[in-house]
Amino acid sequence: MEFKDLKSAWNTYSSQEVDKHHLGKESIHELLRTRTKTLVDRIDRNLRIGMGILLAFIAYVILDSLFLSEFMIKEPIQYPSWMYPLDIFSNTLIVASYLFFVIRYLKIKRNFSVDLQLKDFLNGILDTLKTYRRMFYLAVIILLINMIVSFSAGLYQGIKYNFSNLPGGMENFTTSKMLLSIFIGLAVLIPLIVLTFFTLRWGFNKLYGRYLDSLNETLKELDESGMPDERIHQL
Amino acid sequence: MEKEFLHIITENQGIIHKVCSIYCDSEEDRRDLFQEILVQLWKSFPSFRNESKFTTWMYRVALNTAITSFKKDKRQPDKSGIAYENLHLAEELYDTGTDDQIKILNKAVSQLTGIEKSIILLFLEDKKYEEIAEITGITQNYVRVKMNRIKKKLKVLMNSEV
Repeated sequence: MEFKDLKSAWNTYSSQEVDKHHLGKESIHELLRTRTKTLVDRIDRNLRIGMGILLAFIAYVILDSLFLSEFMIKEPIQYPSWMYPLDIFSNTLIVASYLFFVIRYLKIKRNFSVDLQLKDFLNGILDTLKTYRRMFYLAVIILLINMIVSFSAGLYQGIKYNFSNLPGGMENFTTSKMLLSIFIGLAVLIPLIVLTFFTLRWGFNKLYGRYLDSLNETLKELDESGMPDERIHQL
Repeated sequence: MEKEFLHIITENQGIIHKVCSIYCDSEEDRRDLFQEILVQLWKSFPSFRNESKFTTWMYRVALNTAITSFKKDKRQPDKSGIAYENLHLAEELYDTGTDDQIKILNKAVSQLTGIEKSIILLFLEDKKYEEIAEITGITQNYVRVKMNRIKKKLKVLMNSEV
């Protein structure tokens, strides 16, 4: 089949298809009225929901470290001194990352439209999805830092409480017992963190991973740098 | 504005149907994609500023939506299995009726990638390289290169359908 035959076959086929599926103004209006969310709308909605949840979570973490724990637990909590800088550092990092994320999201949204040229449109979707992924990992990091800090504080408090009730107090907490506590703590904490991280990552990849790959592949296909040299010379 | 939009879309709906024909296998997918394209056109309509032809703008929105559609294409082409250079392109084998030609064309096109489908659609619609480049955002030279590759690929795919 020559390509002129191909065009002729396509014209016949496409005319048949257009006639078969032709819709009146009313039907088109009805389709618009009953519209569902498009992919871009869904990603955008998920991002905004995610931002809200993340903001609430950040507020909770900061309020908890500043007021809540002391207010709710009558017995004063004494964290080891090395935990304070870690706490301040993690909170600052979280707030800064969140602000960076929001600014980036607003910037992408302002320059993004479906009627852009395909390449720019693909880049726009990819940027949005990558921002979403970044936000997701930010949430995971906050959760993990929170888990580590809470777990360490709980372990420290537990040990302190148990040994302070014994005659001799903390002097009974020998180096070997301290090493054993650290070992047990890490043995529980590390699998917990690894499991949480990989479960959440798996969930995200399951939802958007293949789609991201496919968009990247499409963008790569549009990349003219992949054009073989001999073809360039023939042009 | 809605009246104007409905009028202009009703007049040019063939573009959306053609895009749906080339990207969808089932009626259900086709309906979903048609609606998604329609919604995207409606949402972008206020930003249309006559900088390009309306049909060019419409093709751009429709193809962008189809190519980035979330539904996974179940029939990904197996690029590794095609050795263009070693195959004899026996065009003379094709002496079939229009219906058969349509079936062969459909089956072959369904195995192209999203970008290839958009370029072949625009080519079949007699669009010039300049307009194809304007819609896709790639240069005219690269459109030519892609078109040559797609033609070869289609010949191989259609040969295997005979």
